[in-house]
Amino acid sequence: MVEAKSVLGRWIDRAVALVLASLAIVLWLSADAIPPSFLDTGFGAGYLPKLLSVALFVLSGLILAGTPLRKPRHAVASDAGTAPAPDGRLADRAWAVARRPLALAVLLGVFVLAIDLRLLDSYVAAALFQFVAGLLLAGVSRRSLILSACCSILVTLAVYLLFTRVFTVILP
Amino acid sequence: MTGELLASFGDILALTPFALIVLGTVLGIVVGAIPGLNGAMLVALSLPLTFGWAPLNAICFLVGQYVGSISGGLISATLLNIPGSPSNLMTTLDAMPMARSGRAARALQLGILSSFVGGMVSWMALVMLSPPLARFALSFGPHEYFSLVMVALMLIASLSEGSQCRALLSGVLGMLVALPGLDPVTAQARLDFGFPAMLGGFDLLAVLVGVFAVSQLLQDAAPARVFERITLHSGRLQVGLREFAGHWVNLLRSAVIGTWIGILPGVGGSVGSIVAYSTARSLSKNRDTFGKGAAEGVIASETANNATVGGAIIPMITMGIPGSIIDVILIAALTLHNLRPGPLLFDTNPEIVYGFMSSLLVANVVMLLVMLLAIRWLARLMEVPKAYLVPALLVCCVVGTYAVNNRMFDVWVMLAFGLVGLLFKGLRIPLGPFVIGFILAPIAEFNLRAALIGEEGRWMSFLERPISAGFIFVALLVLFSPLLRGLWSRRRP
Repeated sequence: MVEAKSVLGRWIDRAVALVLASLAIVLWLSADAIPPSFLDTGFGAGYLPKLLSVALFVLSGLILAGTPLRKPRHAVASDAGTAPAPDGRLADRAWAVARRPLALAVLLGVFVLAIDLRLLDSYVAAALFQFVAGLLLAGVSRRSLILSACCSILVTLAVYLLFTRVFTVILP
Repeated sequence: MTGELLASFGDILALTPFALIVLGTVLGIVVGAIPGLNGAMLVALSLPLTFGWAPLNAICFLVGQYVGSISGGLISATLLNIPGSPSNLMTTLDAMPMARSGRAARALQLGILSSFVGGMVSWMALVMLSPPLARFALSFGPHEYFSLVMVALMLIASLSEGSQCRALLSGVLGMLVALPGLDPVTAQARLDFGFPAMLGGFDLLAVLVGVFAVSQLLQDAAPARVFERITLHSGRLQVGLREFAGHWVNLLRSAVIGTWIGILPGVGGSVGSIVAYSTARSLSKNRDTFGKGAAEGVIASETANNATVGGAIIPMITMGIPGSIIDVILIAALTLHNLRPGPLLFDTNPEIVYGFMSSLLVANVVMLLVMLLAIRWLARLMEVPKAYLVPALLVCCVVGTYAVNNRMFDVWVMLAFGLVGLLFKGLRIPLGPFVIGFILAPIAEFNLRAALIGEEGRWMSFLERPISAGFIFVALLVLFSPLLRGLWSRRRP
């Protein structure tokens, strides 16, 4: 059996270890900068952050030393059997899977931004978000257009009646 | 205790709490049956709704969802070969072959009856073990609490799926996220990076909804594989009670395994069902039939995963340590109502403690009746188009998170943690240790510093107290168990 770890996986491990080590340093410096309070007894507000920064640093070292953070998807290939998939194809497959969740996340971010900046009333933004997200996930067709429109209006109405009338929350 | 428990049943069976249990259980079953949606997501999403309710009503609703979601996953495990939740994973191995051979209704009914038995046994454990454990926990000081938190974190790290290193990393990052805001001992502002909104720290609900609901819903947006689907033609009872009772050894053993695994912090139904299934297979006379439609396999898996529910509530109400991920959200629900789970809850709010007990029992009975009577309709839930469900649930996440504090900052926090959850899933970092680290960090910090201040900084004081020393020994043993196992197996010929 040959352990065939993808180059992509190794780079991800290294990048994660680097991010963790940087985070540990930033955390230590931030904890060090916390001024002692008048109640300070030597175990102040920066004590646990410093302990955690040490733990993070150790874990980043363990990852760099070879404890994989991410199991390679095609780690084991039999001697006589299939070779691991080329990294390009793996990346393409990962992108095909991740594309729609990422698009939905961006759409969600735009929806929240529109409410936060008061560009739209929250109920209008919610209905629009559902309509567009429904089309994104179901694909554009006559049926999906009708269903998305109906669902977005009905759900928005139900959610807003529930929160504003039953729970008396003032929504933006 | 018996009197208080009976009085609690009286409270629970009033119209509103009972209706909320039924509603919660049905919602839980529905969500459990739809592949991709899970109980943690549902409970996190329902949390903002319960904010203005009486605490007992909130508990009834959430416990119903907890029981329902664990049980509902059986339906998709049997008919689609997709476990509705991770705890139904082992069920698929035997339920799907049974369904393929035209015995879908039998597989479902075996699973439903086993789930009920598992729930009842763990309920008995909850009622019998909680009061003495709470009395024992009353003797804990800061040393013992800090050591106990360490045991919880090490256990969840060692028992999570994947590598221990990743689980520990997840736990440390979870603790890190709990740090910004006011220091719990001196009220000193820290790690707020100049943002006034950060002074209050990250809202628990925003983090939970983000990590569990938003990340799961975003993940559900990915193109799904096409699965073989089996249609349920008949919902009539096909399992004789005498035949079912003949499996009593397997039922009892799996329920005990599930309950004990549930008690371990952060370890949910998935580990319980795997251990119970493996045990049933290794002890069975018909072990060759496992994986080919064995009734024993379905029974072991479903009994154990439901038994973890009652087991997981035990450490939560007696010590404030979550027994599973959903228990983290139940702790958040109690915190929202100004209640602190732990041994003092038995004295200060006994109605809440006994409310948990009685609502668990009632939810199990409701689950049994709903699933047995409505199995044919429940089987249709798998046809719900996710393209329209996911956006609707995301809107509920946004509105629900905003509604708790009327702050858009919380919505951004929720969104950010949704992406963090997605990233963790992509990197195969378990989310359980993250949320448990997040919820236990303030308890760990407060008790660590109280202990060190009281002992003038002597770390050895943790080893001078027998209970604390015992907990630290267990924590170290769990931490180094992979290393010890490796050494042991190398020494054996």
